[in-house]
Amino acid sequence: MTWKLDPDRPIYLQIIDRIQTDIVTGVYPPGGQLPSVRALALEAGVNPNTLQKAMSELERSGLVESHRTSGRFVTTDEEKIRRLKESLVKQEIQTLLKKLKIYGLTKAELIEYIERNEEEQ
Amino acid sequence: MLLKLFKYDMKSVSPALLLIFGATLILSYISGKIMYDYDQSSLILFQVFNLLLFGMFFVSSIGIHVVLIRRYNQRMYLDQAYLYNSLPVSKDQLMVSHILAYVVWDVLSQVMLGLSLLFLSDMAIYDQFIDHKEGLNSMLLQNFDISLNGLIGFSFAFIILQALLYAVFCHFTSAIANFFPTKRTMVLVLCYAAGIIVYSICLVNVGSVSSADDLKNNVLWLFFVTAILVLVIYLINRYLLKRKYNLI
Amino acid sequence: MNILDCHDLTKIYPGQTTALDHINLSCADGKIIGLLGPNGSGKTTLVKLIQGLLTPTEGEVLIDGKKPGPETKAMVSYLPDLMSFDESMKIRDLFWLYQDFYADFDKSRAEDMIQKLQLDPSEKIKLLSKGNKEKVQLILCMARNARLYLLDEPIGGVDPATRDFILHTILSNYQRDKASILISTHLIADVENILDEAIIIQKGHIQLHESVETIREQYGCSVNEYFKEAFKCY
Repeated sequence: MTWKLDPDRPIYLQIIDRIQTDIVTGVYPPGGQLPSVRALALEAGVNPNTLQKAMSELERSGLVESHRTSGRFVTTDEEKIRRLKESLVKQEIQTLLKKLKIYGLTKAELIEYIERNEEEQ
Repeated sequence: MLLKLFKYDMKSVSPALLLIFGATLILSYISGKIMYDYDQSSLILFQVFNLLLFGMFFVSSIGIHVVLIRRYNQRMYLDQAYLYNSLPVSKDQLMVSHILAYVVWDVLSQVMLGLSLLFLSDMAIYDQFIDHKEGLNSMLLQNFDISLNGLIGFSFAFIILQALLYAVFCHFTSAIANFFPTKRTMVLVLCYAAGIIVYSICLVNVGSVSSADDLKNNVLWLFFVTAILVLVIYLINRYLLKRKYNLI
Repeated sequence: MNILDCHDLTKIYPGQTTALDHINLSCADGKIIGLLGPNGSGKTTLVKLIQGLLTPTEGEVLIDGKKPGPETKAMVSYLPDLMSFDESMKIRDLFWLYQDFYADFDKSRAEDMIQKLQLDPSEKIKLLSKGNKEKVQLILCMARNARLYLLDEPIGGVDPATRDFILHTILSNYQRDKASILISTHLIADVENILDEAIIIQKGHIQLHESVETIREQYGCSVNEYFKEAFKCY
């Protein structure tokens, strides 16, 4: 099953997002090996060149390291991964808050809704 | 590459042709055997056989051309055109391979028809031939200045030349028919009708002479003109395939 | 060396409209390129000119710097929009034919793909369903290690599962450094994700030749959306 990709955004950006999420959620643990560009391109259903571009970006940001003969590995720098997790979560919260603004909730009301939701679960 | 193309052309046309000529040979053989010792009860069988045989001779003579023309059209312009015209072979190779197949089968067909006639006569014709060989030989030397073996050799060369003519004419008419993709069959039939008429007129003119010398000269002329014609038509086909080929 | 160059390439069918009008095009090596446009825009004409199945009225087309001929056909693997076989052959007879003529044909890879599709190599072509015939043709095309793959409408008229299979086969057989793929199709949305570049052609003219990512960044929408906007019919 190929990845669900938004047709309106550049694909390589979406691939970067997806791999970052996978690293942060532990699908690719720190120091773990990433699949080859070809394998990932096949899985995602995208052009290998596009995937290569995404990988190069990730390498540039230091999240991924390339060992010439053995492939690509997630960085062992756990601090970096933690900071990435923070910024990703922050982005999600900001998006959520923007959405909820439409409903006109105060901060207190929002926290109440969250707690009530947790109880019900 | 040329031999590979030839292999596939032969693979494609041989089954049908072997069937037709094989059937003709077998029918001739059987007919020949029963012709000379039949009685009233097998008369009907004999007549049926004769009819079948006549039919088979007709089918064989036309069949070889139909099968080979069809093969060329299919692989150059119709169903298999994409496949064959994408192969890494030159236009010359595409044409020559078909020409080779045509020549091989035309010669084979003449041999098989000849054999059929021999079988039909229950080898009587062959016996006669052996008996009168010397006489034939001296008659030929006297009138046409050519030995029996020489005549056989010349006939063989002429058969091959004719086959070459059939092949290049086939390529030519197919190319013309391709310029009218909606009326393809009609154009092919018209071209062949015209060709047969012209050729028949030539043969009649060559044959209707009074002296042996004139006949010999005419035949030689026919031979050389046919050879040149084959070459010219081949070159025209080459030009049409290289510059005016459109697979729509 | 560019894999494809067109200079003033023109094709006028006898007694009809101009199919291609003085096209100028250059495609670099090693990319998956989409030739996109509506039916009758000249896509198939261009593909056939590249393959040497049509002769140009004017101008020229060069593949790796060479004119279409036996040399280019040895390095171009063509998938036609119509099926073209000797139907009396069996699947494995076709494999033998391809092996006979194409030095770059990988028979074991072809047999592997046939097996994955659960097709019987001793089956006669004429007994196969339309979908299976198309798959066989695709396998023959992709089992060659060609420098340029020319795919003419590979996914038109097949069901979504087969479509996925075709795109998957194209991707998995594509060796990035050595080959280029030119996919001609009007189903833009389905192929967009696998393309490096898009060439949009309409009424015999090239309207756009750009990388897919650039189009998305510049116009903020997919190539499909861009096309719908730019070539509105109403």
